[in-house]
Amino acid sequence: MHVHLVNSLNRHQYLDEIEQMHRHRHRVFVESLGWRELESPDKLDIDEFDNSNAHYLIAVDHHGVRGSARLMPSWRPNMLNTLFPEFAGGNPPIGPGIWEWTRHAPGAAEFSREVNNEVRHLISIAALEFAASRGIDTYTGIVDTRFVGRVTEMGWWVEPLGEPINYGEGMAFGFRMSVEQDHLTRLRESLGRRAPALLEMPQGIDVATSRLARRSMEIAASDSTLSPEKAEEALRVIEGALEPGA
Amino acid sequence: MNHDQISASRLDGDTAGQTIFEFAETVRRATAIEDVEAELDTRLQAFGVNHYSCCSGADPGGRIRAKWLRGKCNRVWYDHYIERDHVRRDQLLRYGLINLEPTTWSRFAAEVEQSDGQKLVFSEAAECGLRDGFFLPIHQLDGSMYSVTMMVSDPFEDDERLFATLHMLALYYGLAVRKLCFGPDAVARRVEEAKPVLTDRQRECLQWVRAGKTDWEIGQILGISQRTVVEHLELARRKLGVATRTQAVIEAISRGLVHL
Repeated sequence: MHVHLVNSLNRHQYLDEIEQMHRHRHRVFVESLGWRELESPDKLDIDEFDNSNAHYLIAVDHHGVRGSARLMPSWRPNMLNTLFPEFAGGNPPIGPGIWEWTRHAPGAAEFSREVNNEVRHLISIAALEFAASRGIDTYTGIVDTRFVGRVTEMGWWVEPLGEPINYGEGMAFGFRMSVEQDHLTRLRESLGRRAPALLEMPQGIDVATSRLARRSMEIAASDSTLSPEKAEEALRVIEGALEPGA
Repeated sequence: MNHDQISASRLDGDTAGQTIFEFAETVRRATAIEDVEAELDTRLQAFGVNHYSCCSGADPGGRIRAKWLRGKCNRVWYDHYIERDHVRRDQLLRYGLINLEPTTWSRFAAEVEQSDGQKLVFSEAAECGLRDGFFLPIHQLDGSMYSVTMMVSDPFEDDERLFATLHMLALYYGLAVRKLCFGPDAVARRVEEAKPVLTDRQRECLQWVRAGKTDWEIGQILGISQRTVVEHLELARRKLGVATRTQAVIEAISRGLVHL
């Protein structure tokens, strides 16, 4: 399983996964958690922040999309600064290095415990890898009090920004979490995985070639070590296949 | 032809010189490749050239990367070339990588030992009605190569004047393609134009799809036929570059073309 970073630059390579993600979110939030507010007749959870500024962490394995989360720069319109500032005591954190983490849907009731455990870990690992690549030191969001335990179980420290407010389906409050140096190491150990979780495809690659690139990246970013000889051989085969006259 | 000859022949009312001079002017002033091609079409008809193409041949690394860019192609030949993967057999392409001079298919066949593959390519082109071609390789400073080919249904006469004219037309057409399709302005314009503009109807239809309505219901709501609804959604889908209408809804929302 890997977590793909999907945004407006590369989303054309992920049309299928994006659709699965919106369906998965609907299943999780509306059907499992009962958040009727988000219900949609087309069974897709899409809101105003699913726009060109959104970055998605989409966990994918051979079965398809297993989980996702949405990351939004704090300086762009987002849930805390636009819709629910009161959850952050009227003062949502905004600034460079601060991103909002919402629509967190790791796994699903119908997946096995192993899969759900893996997705939960991988999304947090991916969020930390993403933070390292973008210079993020703080993630913000809104959390239901019932789920705080799950977040801290992943090694995050949840710092409240405001008092819990009744949002109709329960109590929730705005929070911030700092990105810590050793968090990534601890999570990797906990999952027993050294390989990177996050894969980011460059923009502008056409869909047909993207599959080749993605597969290569997945192979390279996995724990089952590919021997240098095998890797060389595979590369030769690819180069050979690409040579005209082959 | 140097400048003196061109202006001299222009003064003489020489057709070839005039053709070259006027076409070069068109290229210089043009803001859209279509305008250049409109004039090129007319000019080339006079020489019996009905098909022409501008293709990339090699990327800056010098690696062969044959890709049809623009032109007035013989569709049958084009599809056939791709389907049979003739780029693998195309010796002329390889000629173009290391030569700066233009040539014609007949000259090339006469001067260079033809592989079986090359013979096959030429004979199949002939079956598609293309019996000769004027081929000009154009090399860029970054090492990449592209080419312009002008194709005819009857082999060219060995006419140096004709070849000189075709050479200049091909050269300036190549410059036009580079300037208008791949220059920095062109790229910026393409990015702007690539933002799909959905019509009001297309947006409305997508909005109702999102609300869970069937095509028939949407037709009822908008007062149009179900068939028209299907057409609107199909166009929207194509403009957004997606495979299904669900993806069309998602993409349209993501780009802010359709509001929730």
